[in-house]
Amino acid sequence: MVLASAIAATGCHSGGNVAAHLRPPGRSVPVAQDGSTAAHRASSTLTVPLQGPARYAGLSLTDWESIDQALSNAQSALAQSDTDASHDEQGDTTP
Amino acid sequence: MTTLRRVAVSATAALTVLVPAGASYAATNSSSGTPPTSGQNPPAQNDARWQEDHQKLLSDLQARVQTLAKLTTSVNNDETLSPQDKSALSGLVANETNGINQLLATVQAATPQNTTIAQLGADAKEMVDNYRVYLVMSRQVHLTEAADAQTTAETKIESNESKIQAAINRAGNPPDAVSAYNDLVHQVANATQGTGNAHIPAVLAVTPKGYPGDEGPLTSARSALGQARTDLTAARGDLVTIRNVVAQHDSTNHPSPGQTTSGTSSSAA
Repeated sequence: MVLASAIAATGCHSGGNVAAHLRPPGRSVPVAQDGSTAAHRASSTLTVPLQGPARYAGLSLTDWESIDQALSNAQSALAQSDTDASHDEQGDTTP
Repeated sequence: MTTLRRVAVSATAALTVLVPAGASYAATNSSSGTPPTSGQNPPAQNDARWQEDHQKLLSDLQARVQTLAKLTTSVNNDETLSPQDKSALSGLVANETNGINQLLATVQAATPQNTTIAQLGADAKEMVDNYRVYLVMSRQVHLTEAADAQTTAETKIESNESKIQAAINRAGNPPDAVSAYNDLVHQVANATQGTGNAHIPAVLAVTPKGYPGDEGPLTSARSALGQARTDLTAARGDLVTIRNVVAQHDSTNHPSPGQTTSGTSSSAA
């Protein structure tokens, strides 16, 4: 979950806005009188969509989470298997 | 073990059983250092030793009950286990839990009057040799879980390779992303092969009584899965590289609205 958490920490999520995400810290977001931001207006006109797929290398957040969870589970299971293998069951029977 | 069966156990037979297992459960009379001459404990002489052995055996059995409960929970909650593996493991763990619980009940009912120290030793040997909770059952569960989890990750990445490639294409095929993608495909292919080399049916066929003679599948599966996970870790690193390069491309080519010279924003305002 580390990677997914890192992604989440950046504020990126599917359907969000890359331009807003990449804005330098402290920089304000211009808001028009109608309440829309320039980012919203720009994203609707750019040829390359600023949607999730590009930001996540083609993977959705769910995909990232699924991969990370599976890798984490595998690591945990293998580590536990090593602990199992080191167990001395005969030793358990020695008072 | 029933009381009737306990009576039938001779001290000589118990000694024969206990010696190979090491210094376990009173192979000799603790006070004299000589073997017991019958299946009955001399009154009072071995009482402290009996209590010590009994308590140790109870503790060992209860630890196994707890481990089996954890394995049951792990199998039930594992979302990446295949249905057939989950079914097989559930059956194995349930049978083992039933057997250990029966043995625990027998030992809990034991008293110095109906059970000899040698008989406690025989129960201890049964606990180990007939169940192998740690060296067989636990490893079967954890190796199978690892194999299925890795298969899930491999399948997930493979099924998304076309989308990843498309994202790189949209970004203009940055060399670093293309290189990372090529390595990603290579690593996932290796991982898939490695995970496949972990022969889970053979792992599940290992039996407590056959151990350690039939340990081979457990050892080879651990080795194959470990290598495959290393490949998957590298593949995950490639994914991060691709993501960062593509994101950097977006940042360069599609800067934030205040930085863009495009008239589309203003025209839309």
